[in-house]
Amino acid sequence: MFAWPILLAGLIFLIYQFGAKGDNSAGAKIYKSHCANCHGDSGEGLRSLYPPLAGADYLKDHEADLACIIRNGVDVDLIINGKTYNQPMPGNQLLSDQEIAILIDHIRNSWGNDYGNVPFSKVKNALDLCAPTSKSGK
Amino acid sequence: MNNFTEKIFLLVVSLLLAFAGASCNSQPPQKYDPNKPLPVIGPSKRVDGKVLTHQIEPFSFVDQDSNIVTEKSFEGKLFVADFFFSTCPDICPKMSQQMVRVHDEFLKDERVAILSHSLDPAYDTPKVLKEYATALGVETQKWHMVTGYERSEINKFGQSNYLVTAMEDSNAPKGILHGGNFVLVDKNRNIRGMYDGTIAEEVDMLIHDIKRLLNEEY
Ligand code: HEC
Repeated sequence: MFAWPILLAGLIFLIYQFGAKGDNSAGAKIYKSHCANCHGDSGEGLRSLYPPLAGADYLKDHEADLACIIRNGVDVDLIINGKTYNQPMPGNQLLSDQEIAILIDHIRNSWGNDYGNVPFSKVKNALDLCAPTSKSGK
Repeated sequence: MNNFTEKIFLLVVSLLLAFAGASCNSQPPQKYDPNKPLPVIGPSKRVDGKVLTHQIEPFSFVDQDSNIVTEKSFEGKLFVADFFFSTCPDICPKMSQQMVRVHDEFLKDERVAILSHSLDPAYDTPKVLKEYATALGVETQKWHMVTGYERSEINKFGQSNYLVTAMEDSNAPKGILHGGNFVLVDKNRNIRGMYDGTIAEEVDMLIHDIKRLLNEEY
């Protein structure tokens, strides 16, 4: 019957529409309100100004540094996928330890990243040991 | 077909039609009446019985290459102006992302320029702005990022000339409260459009209106 191909197309379209609505997880929400401005809605970054998170080797290779970067910001040269970035990133003093842990899992496992979860105890440990920084906050 | 399949069928067909209709709509959304010239925005003044349109006052700033930039630098050009600062965490990254589109679109067209005013002139020295511009990969001749004034001066200048929000606010990052408008200015230094620089669709309209203005008397 001729209706079935159309029905199928319609279904695919509907699935596509729901898919496009995207991720409503807690991590996605924190990301959207605190990080997406700079790193982009899909972690794509912006030229040499804001480094990408999608496909970033840094997220895999510097797992232990992520928590302190997110809390205190960072203002040293970072090399991500072979490219050097040097604009300052502001800290996020208002995010709790839990929120930072959720966020780390989110950025390490979104947009094609598949770097696995980091246990909360590790994040908490890292946060307790963060070097105090003069570049905190704004 | 039984009743149920028929209903689903109709639903799917109408959905598909609606989808096709939405995506074939070739006329881009317009900010201003497409049948009239772009408006001249801002309060006009009456001087000696003559009506003077609102015009950006002469200025003198320093850009990321430490060159002096004045209204003469924009002679015979239209330009897009905005207000930002290099370390602004909330709206500026989005504004920069969108302004880069304007930069790229008109890179080869000398009639178009961009003028970004830093609202944090003490921190945003020409050197800091140069690093920012270099990281964005933009050309000074197309996109001047300027500093070289007091914060209070530029706030006032932005408010009275570009009709934008720019003020001190202890609750905002670095105490700087500002709007994300992109202001389209023609070669007579009249304002011809205001666009939200944090929203891609608004910047689509800006790019469209720049082309329109270039085709008309800009
Ligand atoms: C104001 C812009 C801005 C915001 C907001 C921002 N970042 Fe960054 N981020 C940067 C910049 C710039 C760098 C590079 C810093 C450097 O080179 O010193 C960076 C670097 C990073 C890095 C290491 C490099 C990489 O790409 O893997 C991570 C991870 C990161 N940011 C995560 C986040 C997360 C998570 C948030 C939200 C809590 C966030 N950032 C918010 C600008 C920003």
